[in-house]
Amino acid sequence: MADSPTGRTAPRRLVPGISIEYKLPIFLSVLLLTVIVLSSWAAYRGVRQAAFTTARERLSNVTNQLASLLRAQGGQMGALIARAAANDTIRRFFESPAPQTRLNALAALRRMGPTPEQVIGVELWSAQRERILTTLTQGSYFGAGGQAENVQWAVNPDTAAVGRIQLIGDSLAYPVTAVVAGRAGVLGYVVQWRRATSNPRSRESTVQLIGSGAGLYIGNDRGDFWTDLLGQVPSPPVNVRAAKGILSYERSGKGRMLAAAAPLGTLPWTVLVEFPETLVAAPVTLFIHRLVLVDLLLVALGLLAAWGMGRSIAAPLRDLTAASAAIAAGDYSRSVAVHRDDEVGQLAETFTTMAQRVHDAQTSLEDQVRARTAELQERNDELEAFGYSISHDLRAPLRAMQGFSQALLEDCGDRLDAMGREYAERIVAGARRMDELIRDLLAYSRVSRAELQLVRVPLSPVAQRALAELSGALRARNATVHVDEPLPVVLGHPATLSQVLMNLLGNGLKFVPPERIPELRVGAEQRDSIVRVWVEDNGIGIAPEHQARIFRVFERLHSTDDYPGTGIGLAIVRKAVERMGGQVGVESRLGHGSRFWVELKVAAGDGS
Amino acid sequence: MAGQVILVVEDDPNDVLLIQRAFSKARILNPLRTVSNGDEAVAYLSGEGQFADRDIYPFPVLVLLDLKLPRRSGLEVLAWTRSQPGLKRLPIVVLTSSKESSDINRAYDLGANSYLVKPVGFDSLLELVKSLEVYWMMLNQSPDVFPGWPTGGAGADAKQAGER
Repeated sequence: MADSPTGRTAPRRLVPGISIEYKLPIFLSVLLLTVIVLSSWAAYRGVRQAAFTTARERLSNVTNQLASLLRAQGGQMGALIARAAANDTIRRFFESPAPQTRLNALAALRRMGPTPEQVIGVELWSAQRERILTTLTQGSYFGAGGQAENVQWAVNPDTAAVGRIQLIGDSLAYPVTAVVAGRAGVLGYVVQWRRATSNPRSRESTVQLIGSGAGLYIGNDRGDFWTDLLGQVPSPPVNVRAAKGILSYERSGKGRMLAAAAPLGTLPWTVLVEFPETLVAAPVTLFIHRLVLVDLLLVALGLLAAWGMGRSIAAPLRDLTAASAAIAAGDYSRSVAVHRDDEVGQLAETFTTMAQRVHDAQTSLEDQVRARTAELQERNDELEAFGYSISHDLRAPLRAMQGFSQALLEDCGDRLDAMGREYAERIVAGARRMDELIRDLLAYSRVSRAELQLVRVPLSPVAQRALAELSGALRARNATVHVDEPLPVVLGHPATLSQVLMNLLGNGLKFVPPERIPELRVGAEQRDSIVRVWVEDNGIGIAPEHQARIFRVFERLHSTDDYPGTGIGLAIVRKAVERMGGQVGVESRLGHGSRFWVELKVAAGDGS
Repeated sequence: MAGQVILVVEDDPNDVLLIQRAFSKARILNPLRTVSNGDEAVAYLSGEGQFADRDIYPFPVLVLLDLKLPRRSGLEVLAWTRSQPGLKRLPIVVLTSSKESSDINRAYDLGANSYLVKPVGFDSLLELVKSLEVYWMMLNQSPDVFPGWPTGGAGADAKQAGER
């Protein structure tokens, strides 16, 4: 009674860790993101590499073309100036310098420059490389610091020599020298100072040719002057002449540049073309932006699809779980409204069928149980009526037999002979024996049927009460009884326990041979939560082969003449102890007495 | 004392005879009146029908009541008695053969004053009857009982009062 079986626990896990509804999208989006990130990275790398390769090729081509263009232009220009230098007026001035020839020469020089677009001025230098005539204004010339050593001197009368770029006043200019040859060799030189810059429009058209966003620079081979054809610009951060192939460097304020440089052969210049890397990477960036956009769209679509799919799986599963939980709780009315042709639909259909079957089975089982219970109840009632009838109706004639045979003996004894008196006595004895039988049978049936409320029962008073009940019989046999006090507290039914002890003590007393003085001993020992109470006697004992039989109803080992009794006493003990959740047994040696024991549960709170 | 009637409600003539013999063996002088079923018991106690003459059938000071009776059972008689305002204090001792705890508890619930089981041996019966006399007739203090009040006739009431 203390440990009732734990009730069924319905598996109620309607809110598990994460629903499939969310698990699937999470899993899928992680997968998608991984794939997208990896593929996007690979695509980005590939496109970027391709873009840069193309840019490098273009850069190198453009630079080489520009270089050859400039070389060609330089050659033409040189030839043009060389032809202009082969002028008689100028030669005459060198051969016979006089005011008139000087004026003529100056006029000839003026025809060569200055022009507003390209030429700053034209000069004549002596063979000793001293300036002797110039169209330049003094101030601008000296302010610019054009030096003789910065001039490339032509050697061959057919071609002019182009010099390095330098500041003439506030203009960037370069000298082009041509030899003025006489019969005796070099008479002097014509030096034309040309602007190293061009007007914005023509520069723009050149740059357009290369590609918008590109930078076009021309600098001295020494790297001391650089121009973007508009003005002087800072030198590139690396020595472009020494480097080969495509350069990559950071230009301050403009970011990272891809650049290619090319020498211009006879010209002491270097041409440099720069492509900003941002420009090169722009299509790549655009591509990756679009890719990311598409990817995000893809992830969103995937998420939506996965969520829908997860939902379409999880929702019917949830319905099924709820229905299962309802059925587990005993509610069979819940149906699963899933109408689909796929596995989930089949599951739902199977589930519904199963639930119906379980319901039917349970209903029929319940009906059966109800019917059986009713039947059993009826039988039980009949049995009770039977017992009641026995206790009332069977006893009445017994009382009559017993009472009137005694009355016969007492009231009419003087008129009966010895045989008549013996008959009457036998009727009395028979009636008494039958009464005992009925009493014990009723006790057995009572102990089998009665509701036994188990409570804490201290055994000592129970034993004392049983001994008091038996005191007459004990005195009659001159018996001694020893109780090993204190006896423990057990879980049992007080009246039934009392009957058990009385039966055991009465039994022990009864089966002692008449010539022996009965010695009874009551004791108990506790093992864990079990108490074993024993009653020991010094009686005739029981042979091992009979020990199992003696606890059965009507089992007797001896005739009633030797040891009177109904054969029910020990059966009552066994039934009573079993009803209290314990068990009984006996240890015995034939001729040396027996020790009957019953095991009962220790009352809660009295355990060792 | 000798005039105080004991009513025995018992259907088994053997038991009646044995009880009468035990009473005479125990030299108890109280007259016994016997009825053999529940209806008769009710009629006797209310002084109706053949029991209207209280000279022949005086109101009892003690009832020995069997439970298993024809027509109206002992428990029904008990319940009826306890529902009568004038009779509810009447000492009733159940004397029956049933040892069933359901019977015992039910009898006490309905207001029995005592519950005895008929012994099989005559000697035991004799002892029981002697104890009954000592306890209920000598030691026990009887309550006031007003048979017939308020349902009974005024004449019966007056007669009863006069007898006392």
